[in-house]
Amino acid sequence: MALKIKNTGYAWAALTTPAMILMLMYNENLSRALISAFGLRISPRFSGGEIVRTADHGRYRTNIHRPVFNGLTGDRKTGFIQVDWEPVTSLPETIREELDIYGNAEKFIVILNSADGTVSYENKPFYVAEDPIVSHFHSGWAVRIGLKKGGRNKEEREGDQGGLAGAAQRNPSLQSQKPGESRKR
Amino acid sequence: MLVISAFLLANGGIPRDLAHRLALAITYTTFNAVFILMMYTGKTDRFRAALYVPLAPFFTISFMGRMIEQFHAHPAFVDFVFREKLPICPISLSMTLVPAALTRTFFWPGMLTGTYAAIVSMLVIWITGSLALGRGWCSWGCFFGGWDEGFSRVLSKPFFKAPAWLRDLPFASLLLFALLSAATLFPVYCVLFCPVKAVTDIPPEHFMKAAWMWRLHLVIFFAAVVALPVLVKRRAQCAYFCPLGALQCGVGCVSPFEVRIDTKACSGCGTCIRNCPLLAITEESLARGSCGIRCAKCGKCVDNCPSGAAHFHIKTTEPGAGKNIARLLFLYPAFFFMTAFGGSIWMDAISRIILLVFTGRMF
Ligand code: SF4
Ligand code: SF4
Repeated sequence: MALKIKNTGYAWAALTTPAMILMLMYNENLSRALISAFGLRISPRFSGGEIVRTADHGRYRTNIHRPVFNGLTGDRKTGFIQVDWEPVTSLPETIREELDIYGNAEKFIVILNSADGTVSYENKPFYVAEDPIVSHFHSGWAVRIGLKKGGRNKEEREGDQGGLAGAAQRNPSLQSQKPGESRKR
Repeated sequence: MLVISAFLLANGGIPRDLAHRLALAITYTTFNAVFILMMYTGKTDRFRAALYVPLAPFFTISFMGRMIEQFHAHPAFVDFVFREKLPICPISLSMTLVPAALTRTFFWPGMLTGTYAAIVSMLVIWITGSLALGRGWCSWGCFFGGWDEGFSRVLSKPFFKAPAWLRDLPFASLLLFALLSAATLFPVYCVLFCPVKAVTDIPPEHFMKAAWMWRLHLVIFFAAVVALPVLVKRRAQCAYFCPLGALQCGVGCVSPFEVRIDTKACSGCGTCIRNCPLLAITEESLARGSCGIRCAKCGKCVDNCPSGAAHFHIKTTEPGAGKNIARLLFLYPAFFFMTAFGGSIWMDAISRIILLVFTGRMF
């Protein structure tokens, strides 16, 4: 019995070398297997969420992502919606984009100055936070507009805390025209 | 060893340009020479350190070079949340595990696989490294630990002795930052408090504007990674702060290797207690013949023990038995890990240095 346990220790130790070599050689394959086995993804808090609408303005395009409220165990009270403009070479100095996030006719306009990266709003609804995060890429500009929950529609303001996927479904302007992953930079 | 290390370093092909070829030749020769010396002399730590200590500055050169290269085309460095291909470091990985377990998503602005230090690729490396080496990760793989190990070797005697309770701080740090990261859905430790942030990241534009953040990172680096290791002559950042170090102490139980003290041979001189860079050994653990969970299998106590009592050991076998075979069985996976993981960093940094010297560019 003691010998058996001792041998298990040696076998376990001896296996670490081939295991290490195989992992180092097949890291990519093992990673892909792990991703598909567990359905792993990047959190939309970092990827920006799926693009649900692309507006073609001729010289440039606007990608509007789905509103992201994802938390650890459900939705959070605050989130954001990401809007991207590209390509950078064709962007006008002042970009005005009308957004109707929840399809409830509470439209507002986000205005980006592509020369200095400042963002302002017109008709800002109560559920849109003041300071967006703005970033400039070689392909264009991206803005994350902070959102507070409670802006989706009348029912939600009165207590409905339904899923956000429903918001995209209820809102025709957020339905996917060009379904896609988050934008590639 | 010669063939496998060549394969791991060349990654299946010989580089086309001269700088990378030269870097490959230097790295291959150095690593194999060190391994042969380890085998020939029977000493572990001094040769391990010869590869491990340069790994940290080399990582800075390699990583910063890549970051500048990646963001080269951008007129401004982008905000943290927008860095779509940001490489992940194993310390940050430890902060993303709880949210990943709950949501199957990673709260990190990187790629899952297919890019340099992609999240799941790093996860696979971490799982295998931990299963095989346990906390040996901290002495054979971690590309930050070389900083404080290098500085801890500057003085011949410590300037002062740090209080013993500091040894428990990494566990508190792990708990605190894992909870904070889960609550904020943001890798708080990485972005705000990482002691090596100052030498391994380019702050996003708004962080640069808030110059205090940059200064804070510099202060943390000089305090935790430079001054403290010099003064206490220990790997202070690893021993007192690092949350990943604490995690490795826990996952170390699955590794078949450990360092033990043969109590029959031990003379009780205390050399190992005074010299352990991670404060793993105490009077009590010594009496039990154990190095405790904090041991990173660096081999320093094994090299320096005047009675030959400290030795590498395979769990489930008798203490004191098969010392040489245990050391050999440990050294092979540890060395392959260091060669593939650290060797690629060595090569990239050396090729950038060669390019810099001869062309004035780093990429
Ligand atoms: S250095 Fe060796 S002899 Fe001295 S206390 Fe440690 S194990 Fe015992
Ligand atoms: S106990 Fe020995 S092998 Fe372990 S960390 Fe300390 S000096 Fe290194």
